[in-house]
Amino acid sequence: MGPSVMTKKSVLKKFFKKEETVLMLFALPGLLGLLAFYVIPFLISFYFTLINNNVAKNFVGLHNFSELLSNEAFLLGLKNTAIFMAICVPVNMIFPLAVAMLLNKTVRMKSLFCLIFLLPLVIPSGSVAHFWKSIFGLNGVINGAFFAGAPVNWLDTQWCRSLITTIFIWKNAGYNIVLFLAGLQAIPKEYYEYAAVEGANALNKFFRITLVYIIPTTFLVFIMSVINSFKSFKEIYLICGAYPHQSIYMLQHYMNNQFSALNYQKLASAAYVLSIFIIALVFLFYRIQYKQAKNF
Amino acid sequence: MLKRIFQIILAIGLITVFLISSTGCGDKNEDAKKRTLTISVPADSSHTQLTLQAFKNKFPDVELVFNNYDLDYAKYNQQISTQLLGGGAPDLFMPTSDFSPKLFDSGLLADFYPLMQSDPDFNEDDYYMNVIKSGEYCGKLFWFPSYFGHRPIAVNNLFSKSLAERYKSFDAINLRQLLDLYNSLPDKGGRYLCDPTAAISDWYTFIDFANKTCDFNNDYFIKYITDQKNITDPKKEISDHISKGKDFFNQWDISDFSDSNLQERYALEYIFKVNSGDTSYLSLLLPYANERAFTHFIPLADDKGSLITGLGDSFCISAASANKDLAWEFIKLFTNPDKEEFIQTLPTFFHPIRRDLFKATTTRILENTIEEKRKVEAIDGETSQIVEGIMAFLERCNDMPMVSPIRMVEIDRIIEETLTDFLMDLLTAEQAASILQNKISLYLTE
Repeated sequence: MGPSVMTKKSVLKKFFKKEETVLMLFALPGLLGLLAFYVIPFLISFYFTLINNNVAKNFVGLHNFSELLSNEAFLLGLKNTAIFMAICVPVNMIFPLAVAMLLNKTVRMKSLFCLIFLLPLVIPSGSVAHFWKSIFGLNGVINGAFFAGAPVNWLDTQWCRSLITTIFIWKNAGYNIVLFLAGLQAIPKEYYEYAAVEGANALNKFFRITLVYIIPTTFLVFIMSVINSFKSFKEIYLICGAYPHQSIYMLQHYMNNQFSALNYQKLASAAYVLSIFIIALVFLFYRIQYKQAKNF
Repeated sequence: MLKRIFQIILAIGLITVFLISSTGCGDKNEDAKKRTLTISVPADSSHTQLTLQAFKNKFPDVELVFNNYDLDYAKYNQQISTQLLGGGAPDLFMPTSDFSPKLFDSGLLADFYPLMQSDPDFNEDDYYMNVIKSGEYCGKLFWFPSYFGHRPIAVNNLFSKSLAERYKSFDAINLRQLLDLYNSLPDKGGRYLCDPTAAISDWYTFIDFANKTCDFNNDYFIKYITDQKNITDPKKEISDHISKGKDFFNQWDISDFSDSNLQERYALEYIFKVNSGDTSYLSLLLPYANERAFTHFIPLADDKGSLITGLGDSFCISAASANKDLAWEFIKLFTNPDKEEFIQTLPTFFHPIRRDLFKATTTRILENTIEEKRKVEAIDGETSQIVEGIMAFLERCNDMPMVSPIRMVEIDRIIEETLTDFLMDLLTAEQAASILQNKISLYLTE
């Protein structure tokens, strides 16, 4: 056994001894999958944004983006997605936090309540769509019971935005409740006791202790809510179809329909605009969270 | 160790590059020797086979690759779409009803006009160019039909002689005019206009595809669908209407009067019969048809007076094709059979897109029909004279302005869903018009 072999062996030993290396090796299959099926196709799709079509492949610069930004349907989708997020994300944070605080106070039936709130999350989207359609459809339970003479078209009027928001909250609140509950339970009870001794009222306790200590959880809940608000397209699509009422026509509708029409240029351009939108949003909140944590 | 791994990866990369480049060179050499024309169709026919043979005879050096999907339309649509996007589409393929005309905007299909203009052998006078141009989209022609057909409308001759006379004064008629004729009847005798499947079908006149706009939310359309609703039987469920309509289409061949009970039942309920692709509507023009329930064929037109035509066995050429010239030659052969066998295989319910073929085939069909009918009943007049009169009428129809509605599956679905809710009293006419306006304009602006 020569000295060079010894050196190589010790290098490898050192290499594998590092904890990060081992963790990286475990993560490698997942990362490769992410690269192969998400990152690389996403980067390649940038090429499609720069050509006129898949046959002629003429370079058109940013023409597809400028066309996209002047497309009424795309702008409508962008506006609706922003409105939907602006409504759903805060509501889907405030409501679960309130419920989590309530559950945190009570000891009995905590698991049962958590389970009840989590149930909508495990119901398949197809069943969710069918369930809500059977309630709010033209032939649904609500119309049958209260509006038999003049049925209200809940799914094809301005009502549908409220309905879709309700479905979103119904489906996703449970997950956030569990996350908030875990965050709340991690706050030492002594802090509240000290605050009570110092004469702090409930509001002071909430803003000075609870909110401060659940910032990391809140950030996670925020990210998850943003992601879930984009994923809600599945339910909207199943309930209202590819061309829903104009108030719930989302960016994903636009992209999905472009895919059906085989227009990869518009699809890829929209995907990039959407990605920039999400990245900017997440980055903004990451900065806020970072600053908050630093101040704390 | 790491160095060795790097060396192995480098070697594999070099071998791959070498293999890919050598394969590519091989293809080029092969191309230089022989050209290949690839054709995909959802279903084969004897006419296609005869054309393939004729093409082989005319271009022996060209290799033909023929992909027949044996009526598996789902697989056909999915594969053609994927191939178009991937750049590996066949040179020539037939569009199906699920084929999205949104492809026209995607640049994946070749325009036929440059091919026609650069071909010295192509003479426009040989073809019904009004029909060919009816499939035009924004000044371009992305499909080339082989046949076309009218939408025949017949009047219930047993109901009212005066109505039949008024109806016969039209050269072509649109659904609005049919509705007005129906509404003008003081006593409708408990009969309705026509079966709803036929009535609820031509909404494309309210859509301007070139300017990507639609006009559903107006008083005219609201009255139009309200009238349409009033002509359906309120005592019957819409599903009953639809299944009934379909039954009639499937079971009742209007040339076959053997099932008189069925005919009588139909005649007792409807004033008009609107047929979509009826295989034997020519029988409606024969003299003996005057004594039958439904007679006097008049083609359906849109609001502007253009006849609504259906295009059959159309072909598209992929924009990526390097053999557009050969593909065009194949289409010319397909639409211009020069042998007796070709004529035998032509579908009789469509008219050939070539004028000379129309004359030859339709004349023969009419002669055969009249001779067959003469065996069982008396028909006044010489066969040649009857045929001449009918042919003159049909040629006049064929030369009228034509429109071929672009059928979009998604729009069909939106219209069907919305109007079914309207007919079932779940939506008012105003609500239905507003929903259609919103959804279809969204579709068009995408």
